[in-house]
Amino acid sequence: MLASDVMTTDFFILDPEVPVYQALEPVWERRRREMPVVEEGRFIGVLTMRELIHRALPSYIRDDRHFANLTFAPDLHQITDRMKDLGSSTVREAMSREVRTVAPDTSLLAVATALIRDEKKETRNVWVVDDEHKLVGQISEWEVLRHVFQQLDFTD
Amino acid sequence: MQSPAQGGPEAAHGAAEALFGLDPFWTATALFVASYLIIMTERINRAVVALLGAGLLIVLGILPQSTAVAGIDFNTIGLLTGMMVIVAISRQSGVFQYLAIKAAKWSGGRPWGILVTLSVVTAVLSALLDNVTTVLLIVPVALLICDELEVKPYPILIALIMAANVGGTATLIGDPPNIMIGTQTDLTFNDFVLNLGPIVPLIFVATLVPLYLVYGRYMGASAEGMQRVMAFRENEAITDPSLLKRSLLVIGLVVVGFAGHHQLGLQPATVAMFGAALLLLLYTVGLAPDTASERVHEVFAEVEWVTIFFFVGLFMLVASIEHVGLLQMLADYVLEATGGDFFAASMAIMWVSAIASAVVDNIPFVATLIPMIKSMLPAFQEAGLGAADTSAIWWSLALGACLGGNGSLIGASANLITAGFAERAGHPIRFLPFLMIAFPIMLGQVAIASVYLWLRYF
Repeated sequence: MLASDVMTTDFFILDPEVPVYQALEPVWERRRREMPVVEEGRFIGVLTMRELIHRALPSYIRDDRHFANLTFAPDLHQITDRMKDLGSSTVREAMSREVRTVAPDTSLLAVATALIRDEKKETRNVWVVDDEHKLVGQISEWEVLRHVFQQLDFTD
Repeated sequence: MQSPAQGGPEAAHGAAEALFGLDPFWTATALFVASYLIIMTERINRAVVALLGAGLLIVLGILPQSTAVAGIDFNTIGLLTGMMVIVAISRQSGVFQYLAIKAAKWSGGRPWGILVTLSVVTAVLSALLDNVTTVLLIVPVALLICDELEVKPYPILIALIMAANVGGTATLIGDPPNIMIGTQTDLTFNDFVLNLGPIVPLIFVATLVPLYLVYGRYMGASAEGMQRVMAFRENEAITDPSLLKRSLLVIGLVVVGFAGHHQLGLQPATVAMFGAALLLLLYTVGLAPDTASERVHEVFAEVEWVTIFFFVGLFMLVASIEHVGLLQMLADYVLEATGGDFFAASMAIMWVSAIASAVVDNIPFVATLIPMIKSMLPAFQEAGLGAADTSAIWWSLALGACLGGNGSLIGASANLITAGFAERAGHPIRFLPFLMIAFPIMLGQVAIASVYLWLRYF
C-alpha cells in the first residue's frame, strides 16, 4: 500500500493572509485539528489547534518541563489574553512550518513511521505533496488504520 | 625547551617528542590562549573548543596522554555529575516549586517581601545545588507570581540572579569555582562553611539595600493581586509525595556526608556519587526492568554533559601549560609583582578574579589560577605569612570569582539563564542597564569581602 492509497483528499484549506479567528470560523463545525495553508497553489504550512494552545501558554510554563502541574495557581486570564492576540494574528504568523511531507508513492511502512516519529513536531499529520509542492492528500493515524483494517479479513 | 625537529607523523609514537619541530612551550601557550579566546567569543560551543584544544595538544605530542588524563580532576566531575543526578530526580517531586510558593506566601504577597523571601530561598538552594539549577527551578515560579501580581518581574529577577551567585559562594558545592578549589586543595566542606558562611549572609543583606533603594520602595501591587498569590495552593505543587520523601532522605544523607567527609576520609565526589546511586535505586526499585532502565536513561540524559566535558577539556588545557612550565612562570611573575607579600597577593587575587569573572566565564579562570596559587604557596610560606593562614588566599579566590559573576549579565551562567527566561516572557534584561546596577553592587560586595578577609586572617 502507498501513501496515495490511504490519504484523504477531504481537507480544509486556509489562506495565509486571513486573521486566525476568521479563518477558524468555518472550522468549528467540522471538528478539524490541523488545517493546511496554501498560497498560490503551494503548500506552505499547517495551522494546528495544538500549537495555538501551546502558544497561548506563558513562555515560562511552555519552556519548563517540570511545571506540568499548575493546579496550585489561580487562573488570571493568561490563556484568554494570549488567545486574543493569537486570534488577531494572521494564519501565516500562527501556522507551523515544520511539517512532515511524503510523496504520493511513499510506502505505507514509511508513512506509518513518519506518523509516529518526532513526537515534538507541532503537527501530528503527514501531508502528501507532489513534485510541484502541491498538496494532494492528508494522512492521520485514522486514515492508516481505517484503510488497513478495511482490507484485512478477520472472519477466520 | 627547544625540542629536536622531527620528520613527520611517524614520530608521533614518541609521545614526549613534539611533531613538526614545534616548540612545546610556545605551542602550548598559543593553543591555550587561542582556546580561551574562542571560548570567550562564544561562537563555538565551549566544550567543543576545550576538547579540541586539548586534543590538538596531545596529538601534536606536546602534552603526554598520561599527564592529560592525570590533569582531569575526577572530584570536580564526580561531584557535579552526582549532584546533577540527585537534582534531576528530586525536582520531579515538585519540592522546589513548593518552597518558592511557600516563601512568596510568607511575605503576605507584598512585592518587595516576595523579592526578599524568594531571594532567601534562592540563596539557600544555590548554596546546596548549583546556581544554574537553582534559577531554572525558581525563575519560572517567580515569573508566574509576577503575572498574578501584575507587576514587572525585572527587580525580582535581578535579585534572584544576585541571590543565586551570593548563596553559591557559601559552600564547597555551591558554585563551580568553589567545587574546584575544594576538590583540588585539602579544604573540607566544613572549612568552606566556617570561613565563607559568616560573611555571605552579610553580603546578601548588603545586596538587598541598593535593590530596595532603586526598586523596592517603588514596588506595589493591587490588593487583588496579592490575594491571588495568597490563594496559591502550594501543597498541590508536590506532585509525588513518595518521591519527595525518598529525595529528602537522600539529600539529608548527602548533606551529612558532606559535613563529615573529612572525618570519614571521603571526597565530596564520593559522597555525591554514592548519594546519586542510592537515589537512582530508590527511584527505580520495584519497577519492571524495562521501565526502570528507561527512567535511569532519562535521569542520566538530564546531566549537563556539555558542562562536564567542558571541565574535562579545560583540565587538560591547564595541564598542558603546567606541563610546559608556563604556569610556574606566571606564578613567579605574580610573586615578584606582589613582592612575596601574602596579603597583597590575596587582595590582588580577589579583585582580579572579581573583575575577570564579571567579564569572562569564571570557570576557566579559576581552573588556571588554582595550580598557579598552589605553586606560589611555598614561596609565601618561606617569606613568612605573619598570623595569616594559607587558606586565606583560597577564600580570596572563592569570594572574588563567585561574587564577580554578579558584575555583568554575562558574568555567570545563572545570569544568562535568567535573562533567557525574561526575554521569552517579554521582559528582557538588557546588558547595559543591568551593568549599571550590578557592577557597583558587585564592587560593594567584594569590598565587604576584602574587609572581612583583612579583619579575620591578617
